Amino acid sequence: MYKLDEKTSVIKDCILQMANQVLKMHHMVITALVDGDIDKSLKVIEMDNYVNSYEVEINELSIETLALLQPVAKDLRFIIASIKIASELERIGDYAKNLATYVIKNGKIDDNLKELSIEVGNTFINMLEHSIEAYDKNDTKMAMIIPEEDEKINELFKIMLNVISEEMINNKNIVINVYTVAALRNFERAGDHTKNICEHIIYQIKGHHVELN
Amino acid sequence: MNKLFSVSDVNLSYGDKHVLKDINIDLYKNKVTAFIGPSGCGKSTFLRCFNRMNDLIDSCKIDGTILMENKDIYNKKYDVVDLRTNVGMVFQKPNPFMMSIYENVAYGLKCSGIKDKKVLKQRVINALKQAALYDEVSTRLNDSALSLSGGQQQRLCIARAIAMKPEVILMDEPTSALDPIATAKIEELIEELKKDFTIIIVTHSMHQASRISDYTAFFLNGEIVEYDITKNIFQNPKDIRCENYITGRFG
Repeated sequence: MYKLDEKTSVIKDCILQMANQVLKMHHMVITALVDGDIDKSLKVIEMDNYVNSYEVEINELSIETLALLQPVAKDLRFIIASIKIASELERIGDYAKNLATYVIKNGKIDDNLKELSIEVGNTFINMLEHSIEAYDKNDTKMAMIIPEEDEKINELFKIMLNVISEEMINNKNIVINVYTVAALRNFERAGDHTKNICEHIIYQIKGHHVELN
Repeated sequence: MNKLFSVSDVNLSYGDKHVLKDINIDLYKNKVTAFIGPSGCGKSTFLRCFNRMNDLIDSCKIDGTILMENKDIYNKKYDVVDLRTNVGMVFQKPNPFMMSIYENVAYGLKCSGIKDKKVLKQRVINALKQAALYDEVSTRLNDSALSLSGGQQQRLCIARAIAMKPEVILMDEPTSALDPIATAKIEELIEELKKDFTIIIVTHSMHQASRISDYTAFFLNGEIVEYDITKNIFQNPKDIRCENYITGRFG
């Protein structure tokens, strides 16, 4: 096997492993959020350390490949995209960690937000799963349409804000609601970063930057 | 951008061997254009078309037109000596004459009829300065050129070429026999020289082409497969054969 292909294959495996770890964290944190499961939340926080290590490893492998094998064209784009995708995944991992921290501090989410939280969480998980698949298969068509799912996340987040606003009007605990808004915004931000991953996939394969809205 | 060379439908054969096939390309003034491609693809042959060095090969037959500033350099009335004065060349291995450093640079000038010693000296010094060699040899201009290191000898050859004030410098793998330090000096020099000259370089080093050239043409089996701004060639080549070559997957 061509040496550069060997290296890019190792980097790709690392990114897929990292992405699956991040995906697992989000699966777990949705359950933790609904059930108020502290143990699961602690596990998510622990998993984030592994995700951070993956990013360091991907960066080191990429730098080593740049220095020793001096890739050009599609190989160069692959390395640049890998560094960026790893950075996006690291942030997405942080959002799961933030949600886990919320559960530890505030317990489970209010019952009236439960269904919406599950829906927004699962929509995000689908979006991330599709992005991982598009990355694995070098599928630019798929990467182009995935951001549509982000719109759904944004809409759900707006609905959640309305529910919370109504609660605040009904004199419930304002401080907790502020934290809840901040926590749920993590899904919305994670969706934005997943959209960025789609842009990096397109750059890697097509060689030009696109702004997916 | 100013076009210097305009090449149309150039075909070249050595006897029965068709070496260059339907070459069409425009080359621009004060730019560095790199020709890349595997051995035997015709890039050096094409380079030698620009100063009609192929005329020296009996079996060579060339068709098509190469215009230099709208004049056909293969027109029978075109003075080949003038052409070669205007289009200097530097080869793979440094080839200084067995003369002093000074005489190497003055040789072409003397041949062209310059006899005034003051003028000669000034032109020699200027050429050595432009070739970034003067500071290293100013105290030993009468020493043999063969006493210089390989990198210095190559810069001397560049000085010898630019002393004639050509418009174009052709370089055929000018650093392949040099160490990385000498190579870096030549590459730095090329960057400076393109302010005054148009440079066409054949190189086997992809990284050299990407570092120093403004345009890159990829040759394969006597054809130009892809020609574009160097940045595009090395970031996002359009032709899969070009991509395979520059990424080292060729063959």
